[in-house]
Parts: sequence; C-alpha cells; structure tokens
Amino acid sequence: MGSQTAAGSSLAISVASPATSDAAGYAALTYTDVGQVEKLGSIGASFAKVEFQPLKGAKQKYKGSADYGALQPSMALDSTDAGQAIMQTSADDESQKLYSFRVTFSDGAKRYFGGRNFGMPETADGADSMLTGAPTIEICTKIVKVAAPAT
Amino acid sequence: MSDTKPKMVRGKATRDFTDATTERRFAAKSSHDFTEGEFGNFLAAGLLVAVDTADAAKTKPAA
Repeated sequence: MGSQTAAGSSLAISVASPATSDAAGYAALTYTDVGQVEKLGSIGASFAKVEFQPLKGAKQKYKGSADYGALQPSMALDSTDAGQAIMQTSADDESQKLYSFRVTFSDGAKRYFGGRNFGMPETADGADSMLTGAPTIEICTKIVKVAAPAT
Repeated sequence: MSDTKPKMVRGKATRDFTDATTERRFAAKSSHDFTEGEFGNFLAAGLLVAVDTADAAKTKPAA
C-alpha cells in the first residue's frame, strides 16, 4: 500500500520480553491493545549532531549517538480497559524493566520495540473535553519494522 | 503450521475490565481461561488472580 491515513492504527503492550530482538521474537509475544487511543505520535530514531568548525572551511557535521525516541500517545481514560491498566502499571513500575510494545498501522505494517513508560499524567481540561492520559514511552531498543502483508 | 493449542491458565477477575484486543468483557469475581500471555499481562496489571491462589486464600484458616 502507498499512503494511508492513521485511522485504524493501534498500540499494544506486553509485560513479556522477546526471546530474540527480531520480528519473530516480538511476534511470539501476547499483546493487549490499549483502548481509546486518540493519537500515537511520532516513532523513530534520530541521531545527535556532532559539529566541528575548523578555522578554514565549512562547518563539518557528523552523526553522533542514536536516540530511539519516545512515543507519546494520548487516550481517553477508561478505567475498565485492560491495555490502559497495563500502561498504568508500566508507568508506576519503579524498576528498569523493559515492556514490549507493538504499533500496528492500518495496512497491517508493524513496529515493535522495548520501552519504559516514564509517566502517564492525567489531564482534565475544559468541560467539553474528555479526561485523557498521556504516557511517555521512551523507546530503549532498536525499532523492528515489519512491512504490511502482501495483498 | 503448528496445531498445538496454547496452554490456558484459569484466572479470576478482581474487577470489571475489557480486553480491547479480543473485545471480551470480564466481570469482577468471574473466572475465565486465559492464554499464558494474556494471563501474564492481566496479572501484572492486577486485573486478575490465579484461581488456585484465590481458592487457597479462601480456604486458609483464620490465624
């Protein structure tokens, strides 16, 4: 598939870690979808920029350390949703445990990674808005990309 | 393709909850069979307890 909208995309979490850090390892886990997700946010690594300005010549730019980034979804809070309960558990977890995450796009393409949830603040905004939760999932492993299945 | 059935674990819901993956709803105090993966996820979130554990606690004599 070429371009697609974000509609139908989903976020899922597992408390288990993959036996191998590849598509097969992640796919073997059981995930629980997080319900009522409004936005997923950006996903992808970026590199620090290392610059050097010699006395002669143009500024030199190098790729430094990789940062796998952070996923910052937002969701309408639902106290009965199992996926949100697991998200809250991962946010409250004071250990360095890695949780496994799966993002699925509407065409079936998947993104797997291990991450730590650094918090899930709740927001009560104006009267005509939903109570929302906005976790920050710091991505701690290389993101494993799985293409959409052939149609 | 393997036709091995996944191992199931029986658990009792500690409160009402819904699994958005399967759209199954679980009422508080009801018991159900879960795959090991589901069980691990729900147990970690405090959504259920193992039935054996619950029964053992129930039958444990008062100190």
